[in-house]
Amino acid sequence: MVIPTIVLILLRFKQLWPYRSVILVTVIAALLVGLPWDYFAAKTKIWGWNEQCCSLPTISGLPLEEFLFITLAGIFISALTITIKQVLNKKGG
Amino acid sequence: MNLFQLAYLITILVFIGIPFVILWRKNMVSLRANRKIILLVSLSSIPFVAFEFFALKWGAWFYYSERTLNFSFLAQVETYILGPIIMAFGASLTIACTEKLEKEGELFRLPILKLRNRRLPWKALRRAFVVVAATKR
Repeated sequence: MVIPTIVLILLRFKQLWPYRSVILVTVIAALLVGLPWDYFAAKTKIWGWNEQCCSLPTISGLPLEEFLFITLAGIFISALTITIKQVLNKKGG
Repeated sequence: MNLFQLAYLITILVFIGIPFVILWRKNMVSLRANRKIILLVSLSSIPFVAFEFFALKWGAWFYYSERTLNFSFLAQVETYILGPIIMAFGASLTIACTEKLEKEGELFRLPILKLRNRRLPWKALRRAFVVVAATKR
């Protein structure tokens, strides 16, 4: 998740900067939806993490890597959508 | 197959499906006009879903067999449903926000941001300061 997000942001930084508030809103929504869901799924034993998997500490049973993943996913989806929208609008004229 | 095996699917529908439906109901017009973009973003999730194969192999995470359908092709079948739905939700939210930003020029209407653009009433403030200073003496 890290590499595609960084690549996309570096390639389209100028075009994405005016939409930073949109990206922020998407990240907040991703955290508001994703974290309770992750917590619920871990508690009801839908999925779990091996003890050796994660190097960062856990919060309420969720590895910090999950917080990072959800944040990066929100940034990536938002940036990708804005990029595709701009490319399609450019092609359409 | 028992009901518990649908748990993963049900959580997808509840935690992502409900906000997705609410978002579309509120912004039906603009999202419908941009459905091509939402579809493209959703389809782009498929290569990332296959990444789960490596994550499961490396033991980054695992699924409890009692709570999933136990049918997988590189990744759990529920993940193939989850990926496009999450991407579609994120794309829909992004489009709704960009439309609002382009239409109104701002996303948030925080009063403190408006104050920044206004000239402060310096004369009134100075007068108030003088009065307060005089009463304290």
